[in-house]
Amino acid sequence: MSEDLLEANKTQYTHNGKNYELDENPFKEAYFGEQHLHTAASMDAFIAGTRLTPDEAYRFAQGEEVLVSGRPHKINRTLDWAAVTDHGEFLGEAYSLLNQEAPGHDSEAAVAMREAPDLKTALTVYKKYVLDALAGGNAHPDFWQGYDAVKSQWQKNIEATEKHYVPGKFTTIHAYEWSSAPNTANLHRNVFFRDTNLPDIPFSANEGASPQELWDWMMEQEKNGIKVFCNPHNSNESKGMLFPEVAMNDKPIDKVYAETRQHFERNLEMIQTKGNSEVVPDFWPNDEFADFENAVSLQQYNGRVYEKHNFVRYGLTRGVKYYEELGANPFKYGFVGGTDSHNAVMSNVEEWNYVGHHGMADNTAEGRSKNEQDGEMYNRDMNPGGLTGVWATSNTREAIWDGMHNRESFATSGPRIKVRFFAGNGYQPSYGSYEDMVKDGYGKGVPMGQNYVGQESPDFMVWAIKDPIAPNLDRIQIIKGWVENGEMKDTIYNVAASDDRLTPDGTVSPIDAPVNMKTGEFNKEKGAPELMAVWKDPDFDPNQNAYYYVRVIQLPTARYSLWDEIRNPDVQYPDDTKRVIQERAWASPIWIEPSK
Amino acid sequence: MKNFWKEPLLHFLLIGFFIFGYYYYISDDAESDNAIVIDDAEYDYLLGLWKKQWQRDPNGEDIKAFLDQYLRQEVFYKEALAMNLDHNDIIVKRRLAQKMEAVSNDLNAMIKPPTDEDLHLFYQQNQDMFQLPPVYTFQQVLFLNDEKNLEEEMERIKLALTNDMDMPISKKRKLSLSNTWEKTSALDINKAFGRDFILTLDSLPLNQWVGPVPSGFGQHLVYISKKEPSKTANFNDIKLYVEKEYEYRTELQTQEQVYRDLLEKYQVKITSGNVPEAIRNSYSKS
Repeated sequence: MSEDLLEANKTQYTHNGKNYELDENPFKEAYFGEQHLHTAASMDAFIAGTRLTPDEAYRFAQGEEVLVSGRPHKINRTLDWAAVTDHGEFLGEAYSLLNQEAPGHDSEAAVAMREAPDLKTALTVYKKYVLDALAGGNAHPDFWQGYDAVKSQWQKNIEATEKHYVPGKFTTIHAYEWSSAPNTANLHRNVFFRDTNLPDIPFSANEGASPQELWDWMMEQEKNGIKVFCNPHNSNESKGMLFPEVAMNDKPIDKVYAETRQHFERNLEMIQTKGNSEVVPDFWPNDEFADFENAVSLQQYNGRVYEKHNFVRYGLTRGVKYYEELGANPFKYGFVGGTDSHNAVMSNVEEWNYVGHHGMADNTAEGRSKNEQDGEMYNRDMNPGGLTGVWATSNTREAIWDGMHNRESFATSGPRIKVRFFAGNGYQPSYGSYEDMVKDGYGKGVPMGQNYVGQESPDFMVWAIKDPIAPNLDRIQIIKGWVENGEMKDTIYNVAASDDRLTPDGTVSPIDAPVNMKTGEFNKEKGAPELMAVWKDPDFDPNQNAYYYVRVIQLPTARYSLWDEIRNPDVQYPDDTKRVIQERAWASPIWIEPSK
Repeated sequence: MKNFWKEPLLHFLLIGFFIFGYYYYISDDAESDNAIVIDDAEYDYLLGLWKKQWQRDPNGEDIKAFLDQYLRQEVFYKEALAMNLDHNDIIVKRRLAQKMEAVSNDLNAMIKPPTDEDLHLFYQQNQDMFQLPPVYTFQQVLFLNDEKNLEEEMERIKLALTNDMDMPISKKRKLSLSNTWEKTSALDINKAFGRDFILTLDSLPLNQWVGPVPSGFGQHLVYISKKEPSKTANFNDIKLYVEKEYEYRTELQTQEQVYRDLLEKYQVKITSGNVPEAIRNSYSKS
């Protein structure tokens, strides 16, 4: 067999004085992992009944069986990499709750939290000791032992993350969540560190509730040689505050704000258990795939009513408009997916393997069909969450972190669909081999996450393959957003479709590939295992501020609600609940930033 | 004799004796029930707990705080005892039982760390815990289900490959999947190709092109050059893992053993006729 340039080479890698021989591929591989997960070291998860620690979360990601709400559970396919992101705000409390010798362990509040026998009691305890304390202006319940306790728990998380790092096989990333929610607007960000150069203590919303304060802290860390970035999530819950017109200090967004934000904030979490933040049909009525895991019942709580400002496609377009106004784009984001599971089960994303993400609230089919997630939404509106794929040269902490930092990452709603996206000049309409395509992709252009620079109308090359255990692909779309005479616009192009359905005018007839409602089986005949296209924007203008991102749509599959009903004849979800979905992947954008 | 010293219950009783002795000793100094005395022994004990937790010396404020916390607890505790609040209270019972179990858990920390000999023995007795999945070295060529004349094409290419001819360029990394897989574990093959493919692989002959082998992607021609069956990992390669598992299992066993030994001291009489008979009988001693 002739030599294949895309095959990985062996390379030497050192971590903590230990040498590893591992695969390195300059043309990159897609590595799938979790970048948003809570364990018992997040106090809200603890109160809801989670007792699994960061150590056990990493074990689960590597295929070990753990007890979820008392029942044994396993991931279906192991992950390539993972990060535990416990809430920075309550790490100290978690330390007292989890460790017998810690001061505060036997306090009335801690005992009540540990011993809550059911959901109702747990919620009462949560209200009494946490919410009421917060409402009274106390950042902490009374058993908080101070910053030494925070430091101790952070150290425990660091130890677990170090312990499970197996370079080349399983990467772990040091991380935590900054959970600011002014007036219940979700501004949460997950913070990621590149190596073991780490702060003594994470910066939480208690120390600073505005993103600017977080960036100030991150700037301090950089001065100490620490490499760090963050990814915001749940823009759908942000009450218009994630993509604002005015900063939290009431000053208008200026160039310094935009540059600082872009420097530290690299990806948006497109989808997670509390909904898909891309778009909703109310504001994008012409997007036929907008009605997907929209988590609409969120709007009944906390005044988190949906507005266009809350969604990713709006944010990206507002970003390019800011570029036009300021010369810098504050919302220059790639995409990631996560679960935000509070059960410590990393990327437990397969619909048929879903056992809930919130302790006692949704651990049974009945609870998922009937209960509400206290004060937030209906359980049946939640979904198992998404995955992040990162194109990286090797499975190491540095390479995965760099891949996310360069926005060469993509989100999926769960399946392991792989997607590549390039913009350049001189691509062929199709390639005899994958190898030639990828070499041209990098050689004659830029990958996802970057700017296309040039006056010539670029070739956009997009390629996707299916998940081997999921159905085939339906189509690939390119979504364009731009600014025209000061107005923000966006549109969708179908660029590839299975079964010869793409017509010259760009329309695609729907595919008839039904799910068997009695068995949950998907259609195995229709669709394509691979789709590829080289596409040109008919309206390209090199002087127009614009972005292009990719959406890959899979054929229909059973949602967890259907699996629950098939397996539990007594369980019936309300009629408003979807039983069938079309899962998907989103590749990070490529931008056009004309020089002035 | 050696085994005698390894008995968890014995450790448990000895520790109990020391704890009891300690309280006996300190309470001897108390003048009456209404006094709370913090003497050197008590203070050193509290100070030690605090330092163990925070890994530093307390300042004046810290000392005041932990003394206040202690006194607060003592006052309420003594009052509660005087009022008999501890008697038959379910929460007190649960806490005391937990405390007792915690003491038995701590035993593991006190039993000296395992020797290499202990680990070897544990490794030998629990081989099933240290199995590596099968490992394959193979080549694959993928055909999509909608390719023209699929069956004939597969036969034609199979023959060509069997006669050492080059693979057609269109089949190189079809769908991005490598043609050559060196020493790849069944777990990774499952991730890359799906379950059907790895199950079929297991039954295929070595050193010849065979197929079609189905996967979620399509049909494959496969040439397996080496198959290493599932085997027990080499002790030296996984020593750290063996140690981790040894500690974990020993802790579980110790807990169970202490419970069983203590249960022996009691006669369990289930007089309620509502408990199913089989369960009732399982508690009666033979």
